[in-house]
Amino acid sequence: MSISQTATATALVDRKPPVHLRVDDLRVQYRVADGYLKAVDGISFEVKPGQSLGLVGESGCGKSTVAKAILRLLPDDARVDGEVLLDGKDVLRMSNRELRSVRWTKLALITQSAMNSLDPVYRIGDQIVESIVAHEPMSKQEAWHRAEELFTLVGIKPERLRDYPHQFSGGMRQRAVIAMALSLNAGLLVADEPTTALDSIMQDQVLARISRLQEELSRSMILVTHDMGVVAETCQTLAVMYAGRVIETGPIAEVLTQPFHPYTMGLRNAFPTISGERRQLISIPGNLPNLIDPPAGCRFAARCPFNTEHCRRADPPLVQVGEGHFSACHYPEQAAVFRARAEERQTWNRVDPAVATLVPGGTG
Amino acid sequence: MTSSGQAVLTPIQPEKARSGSPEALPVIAATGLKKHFTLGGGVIAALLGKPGRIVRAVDGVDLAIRAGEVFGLVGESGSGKSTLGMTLVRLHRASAGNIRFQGHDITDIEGAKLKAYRRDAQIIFQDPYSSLNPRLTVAQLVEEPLRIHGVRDKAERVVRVVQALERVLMPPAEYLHRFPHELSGGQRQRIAIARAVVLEPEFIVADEPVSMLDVSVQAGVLDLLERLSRDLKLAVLYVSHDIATVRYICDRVAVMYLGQFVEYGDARKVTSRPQHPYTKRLMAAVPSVDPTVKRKRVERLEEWSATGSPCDHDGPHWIEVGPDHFVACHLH
Repeated sequence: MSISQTATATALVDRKPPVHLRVDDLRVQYRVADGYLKAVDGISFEVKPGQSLGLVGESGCGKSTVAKAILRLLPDDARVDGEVLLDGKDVLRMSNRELRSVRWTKLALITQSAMNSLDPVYRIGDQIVESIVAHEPMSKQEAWHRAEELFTLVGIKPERLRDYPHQFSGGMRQRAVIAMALSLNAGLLVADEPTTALDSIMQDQVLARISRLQEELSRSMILVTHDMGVVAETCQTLAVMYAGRVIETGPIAEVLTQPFHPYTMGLRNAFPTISGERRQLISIPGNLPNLIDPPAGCRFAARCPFNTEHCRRADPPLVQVGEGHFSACHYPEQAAVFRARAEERQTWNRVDPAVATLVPGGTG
Repeated sequence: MTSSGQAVLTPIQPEKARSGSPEALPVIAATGLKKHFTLGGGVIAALLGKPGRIVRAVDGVDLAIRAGEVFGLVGESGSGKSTLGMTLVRLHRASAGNIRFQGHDITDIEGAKLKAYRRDAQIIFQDPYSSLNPRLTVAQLVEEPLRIHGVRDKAERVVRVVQALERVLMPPAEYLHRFPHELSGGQRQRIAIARAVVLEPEFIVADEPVSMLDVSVQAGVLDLLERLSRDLKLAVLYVSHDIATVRYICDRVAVMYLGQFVEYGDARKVTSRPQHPYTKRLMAAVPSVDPTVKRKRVERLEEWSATGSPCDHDGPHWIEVGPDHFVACHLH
C-alpha cells in the first residue's frame, strides 16, 4: 500500500493543517541538590509549516528537555520560561483542557524509550484504537481499520495488532509506537531519538517512512538525535545544541559542508561514513561543563582546540554567517582555517581531557 | 589458488594455520559451528509429544581470528551475531562443530578448564549502564575479576587494577574511587573494557560496545579497542550492526545473515567492493553525513530474500572473488 493511498483512506478525518512552531528564549531549570541546573538556557528556533528541523547534540546537552518542554511533559518542579508558540498560541500557558485538545491532534511525540511505553496487559491494537477514539469521532471498528493501515505502513503485519507487547521484538515495539504517534496525523511530530534502539536497516526503513509521510502529508517535524547522518538525510534545517544552547543553526547542507562552529566540525569528524575516502574518526575529548554554575565565556572553550583568552571570558552571541545560517563563535572569519585543522587528529589531542572536565569552576 | 571465482570449502584458509609460524596460528578458530535453540520444548509439550520449534541462531560458521587482529561481525538484529560471540566465549554450548583456542579444543570443556578459559576469553556488553554494579567503586569493579580468578595477593591486584585503568586511559588517581553513576557512558564502557583486560586475556568479544554511546565518544572507544588489540596482541571479535564503524577498526570482517556467513574477508575490500546483496543492503542503510550525496533509500519493508536462503548442500560453499575476499556460493 502506498502512502498516498493511506492518506486518501483516512482523508475524512485527516484534514489537519501542518503546524507552525516558534520557540522563543526557552529556559528550563531543574532543581537539584546543589542549586538549579540550567538544562536549557535561552533557546529560540522556528519550524515553518511542513518543515523539519533536526536538533542534534551530545547526551546531556538539553535536546530532550526541549522536546519535552514543547509538549509540556516536564516534571512539575522544572522551572520553564519563555514561549512555545504553536500556531500563535503559547503551549506553556494553555489550560489543561486546551492542552488536551492539542496533544495528539497538533502535537505527537515519539520518545526515546518508546518501546517501553506500551502497556503490557493490553493488546497493542487496543492501545492504538484507544488513542484514536479519544480524539476522533470514530467508531472502534473504523479506528481498528486505521490501526491496520498504520501497521502496514510501518511494516508489521496487521494481524499482529492482536498481540501483546511482550510478543514483539524491541524494534517491532518501537515501530508500533511510531504507528501510534502517526495515528492521529498530528500537525507536528516531535521524534526524540526515534530509531536509536533499532539496527541500521530498520532505522533506515523507519526514517524513510517518517520523512516520506512528513513530505507527502506536509507535516512539521522536530527530530532530536545525536546522529548527524540521520539528520542530514531527514531534515531541512539543523540546530546544533551544546550545554543548553543552540551554538549553530542553518540550512542542513550549509551547516554540514561549511560549519562555522568548532563543535559542529568535531561532531562531523566523529561520524563514521561508508562512502568516500576513509577519514580518521576523531572523538571530542572532555565532557559537557557543569550546568548548575556554567563557566563564563564560551561554553565549549574548555574542549575547543582553538580557544583563546577571549573565549574563556566573553560569551559569544549567535551571529549571522550566511543565508539563515548562524553560529556562536568569536572567530567566524577563521572558520576555513579551523575546518582544515579540525580534520587532523593532533588538533584535538591538544585539548587535555582532564582540564576539559574540570572546568566548571572557571579556571580561565 | 587466488584466481578469481574459485570455489572453496571455507574462507578461513586452514592450510596457512597448519603450516605457518606460531603467529599465524589463530587465537580462536571455529569450524562448522552451530547453535540451535529449541522453542516451546517445555515439559508439557514433551508430555504431549509435541516437538519444539528449532531456531538455528548460528548455523554452520567457520572463522579464525589471529592475535592482534580486530575481526568484525556484522548483521542486523536476529542474524545470530551475538549468539556466535557468546558461543565462542562459552556462555552458550555449541550444538555442533568445534571451537579451538590456541589450538586446543574447548568446545565441550567443563569445570576448572572452563574457568581457566573464561580468564582467557572475555566479553564486553553493549550497555555500560547495566553491566556495572552501581554499588561498587571503579577500583572494586576492576578488581572483581582478579578476585574471582584467584589473584590472592592484594598488592598485585592493586598494581594490576592501576595498570588496567591506565591502559583504557582513565587516570587511576582521578577515577579509582568514583561510582558508575558519576561516569559518562563512554567512561563506563572504558571501565567495562578495563575489567576485561585486567585478566590479560587472549581473546575479547566486544558485543556492540559503542551502539549506546554518543557519536562524539564512539570514536574514542573504537580507537581504544583497536589499540589494545595491537599492543596486547589480543584477538578481538567486534560485533556490530553498523557496517560503517567496521571499516574504521577491523582488519577482517564477516557478514552474517540468518545464522550463516554470506561474505568474509579483508574489511576494506568487503566494504569498498561488497559482492553479496545482503552486504550491499547493509551498506545502503548507512546514512550519509554529506548532504551533497543523495543516497538511494530502500523504502520497502519486504524481507530481504532476493537471492533465496543460504545454501545447505554439501561441498564448496564459498567463492573466492579476490585475495582474502569470499562470498557465499548460493549466489553463483
